[in-house]
Amino acid sequence: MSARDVILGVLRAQRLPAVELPSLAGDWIRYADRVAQFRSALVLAAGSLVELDAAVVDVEAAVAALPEHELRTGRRLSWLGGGSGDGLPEPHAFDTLELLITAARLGVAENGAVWIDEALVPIRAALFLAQHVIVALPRAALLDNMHDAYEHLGARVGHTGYGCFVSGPSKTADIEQALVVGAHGPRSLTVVLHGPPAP
Amino acid sequence: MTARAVGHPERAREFLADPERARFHDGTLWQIRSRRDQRARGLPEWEALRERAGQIKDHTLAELPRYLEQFEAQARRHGAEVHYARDAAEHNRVVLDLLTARGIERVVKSKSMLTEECGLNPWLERHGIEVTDTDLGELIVQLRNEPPSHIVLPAIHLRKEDVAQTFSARLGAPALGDAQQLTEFARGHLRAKFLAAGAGITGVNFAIAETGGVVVCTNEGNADLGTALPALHIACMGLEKLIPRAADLGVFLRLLARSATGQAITAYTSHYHGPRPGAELHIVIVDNGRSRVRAEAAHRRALRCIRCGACMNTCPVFRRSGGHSYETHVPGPIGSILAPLEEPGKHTTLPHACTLCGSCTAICPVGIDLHEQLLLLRRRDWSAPDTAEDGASPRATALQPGWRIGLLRAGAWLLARPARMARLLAFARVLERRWPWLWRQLWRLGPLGEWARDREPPRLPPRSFHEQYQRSRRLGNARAAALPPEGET
Repeated sequence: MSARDVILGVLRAQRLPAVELPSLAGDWIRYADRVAQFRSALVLAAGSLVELDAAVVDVEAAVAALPEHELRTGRRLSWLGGGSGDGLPEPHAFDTLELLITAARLGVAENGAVWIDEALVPIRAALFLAQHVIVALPRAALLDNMHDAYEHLGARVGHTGYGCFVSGPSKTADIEQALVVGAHGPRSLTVVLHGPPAP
Repeated sequence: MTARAVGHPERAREFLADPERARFHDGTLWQIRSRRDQRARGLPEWEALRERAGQIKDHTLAELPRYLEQFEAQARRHGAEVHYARDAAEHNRVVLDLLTARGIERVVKSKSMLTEECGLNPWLERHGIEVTDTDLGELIVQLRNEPPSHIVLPAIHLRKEDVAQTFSARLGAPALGDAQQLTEFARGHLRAKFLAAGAGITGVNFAIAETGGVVVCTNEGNADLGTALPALHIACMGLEKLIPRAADLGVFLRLLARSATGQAITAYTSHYHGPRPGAELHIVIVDNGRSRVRAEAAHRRALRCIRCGACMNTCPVFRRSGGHSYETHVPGPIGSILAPLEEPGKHTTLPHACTLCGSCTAICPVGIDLHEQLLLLRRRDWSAPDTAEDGASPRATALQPGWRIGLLRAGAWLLARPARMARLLAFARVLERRWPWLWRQLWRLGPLGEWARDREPPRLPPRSFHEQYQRSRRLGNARAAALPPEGET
């Protein structure tokens, strides 16, 4: 008998009382000022927030004018216009990346996280090899909490090979609990809010 | 006394030999516990989340076979391969076979308590494979040939001077002073390892039955680098990691990081569904004693655990004895439940490493009745045959039945002879007053020694109860004689 059959057999032979699967509806937290909450959560996560005027249409150009962008003189890469993995080099080739600019599908006010998936970052290694990351997030895509985030993502979670909630840059406190930003991945993460807020 | 294998009390004593370090450990963990409290208070729905999380886990555990099959089918649909392993040895063989079949010699590993549990590193190294732990804390303890002392903070027992010394001795680092410099050095060292690795091994925080995906949470991004570069990703998980729906993560992720480190969420929460294009994803599902825990109605709840480590941070015993004193892959309150159940006859001193204060139960994000289970396990120790394989008696901190009976008989003999009892107590009081040193030493002899070693003997009253009674009776009679008889006012 295979290990699988043995394990499943053992588990099936154990009779456990039934427990109902609870619904996920709840009186979950809402914020009067989502942007302010998002900013404070992001700053706590060692990230930073830039707010573009709601009227700005060319986000790419606006991002390029930011000091966070101009100061990074090395190799830059923008996937703001969407990217495809086809014809791209091996992930290892992104090791020298100084700055990656990408978009996020949604942001979560309660914890300062943004959701990024493969449709936005076709080579996931770039998100971690880059020394610095700038993420553009539409204001209308800022949600209150994680329950809303998963509801909004829906089936997309299972349909993308890789999706990630990113909250601030890479960090560690493994030595004496002293926070150090830039453990393996990006040393900074800037979220750029743009566009009109949700109606 | 016969030679006895080292149990929790002895190992704790070693940890406490350096009081300054022990104080640092205690204080740091308490600080993390306080941060967790702040975060929990910041969410009005905290208790509702805990309750919901417990229900979801209980439901999943009750219908585990069905969810395992669903997960497996969905994961396969995405192109992942699913393996099962009954025990640690089988898990290690599966991983090694995957590596050798592809001629892989270098592996990067992100934090996985399961692979610690299975002893994967030494096994792979014995077969000529270089394994690099990439979580900073885990790298540090790996370089020191130590196990992690905490499931979330593997190097919490060390000071930065220790880390600096380890890095220069093992990696030829220059003298580095602070955490920033040390982390920067490790970053450079590990970047090369990531780029050269043939495979990335990760643990799993959650496995979603509905979608066949696995979720891994890190702050450093090491799991992501380790899986985004090499062409093989091996994800190792205990079978209790399943959750039914992706949306359940809304509940668990809100609890996990807040409970673990006082963060609202970890820096990276990665959802993997199938391999990346041109790569492979293999998921190894391990039992290794978990089904044994599931069989026990009183202890089943322990499988709700999401490995946040909050029970360790809050535990007064853990904070003052260090994770290594538990000698298990998962230390602290939850480890003291799981280890003796998963490996019958071992780790039997652990349920006694508990003050029953209940702080762990009060703080556990998935509502495990930790201290109550620990109490139950102590009771089990009393009735269990003395078959401890590790030689550490289940009663290392309690009295052996022979001693108990002997002491009770001696007590009965003494209590039946009041005059002798009174003389003995009078002698004890003299001893306590005149030769306190000798008095304390006497306590530490014999069967109470283990218990009495870290305790002061009780202070004896200046007079025994019997003497007091006699005295007050004499006084009372004298006073009564001095008063006018009743009814004559």
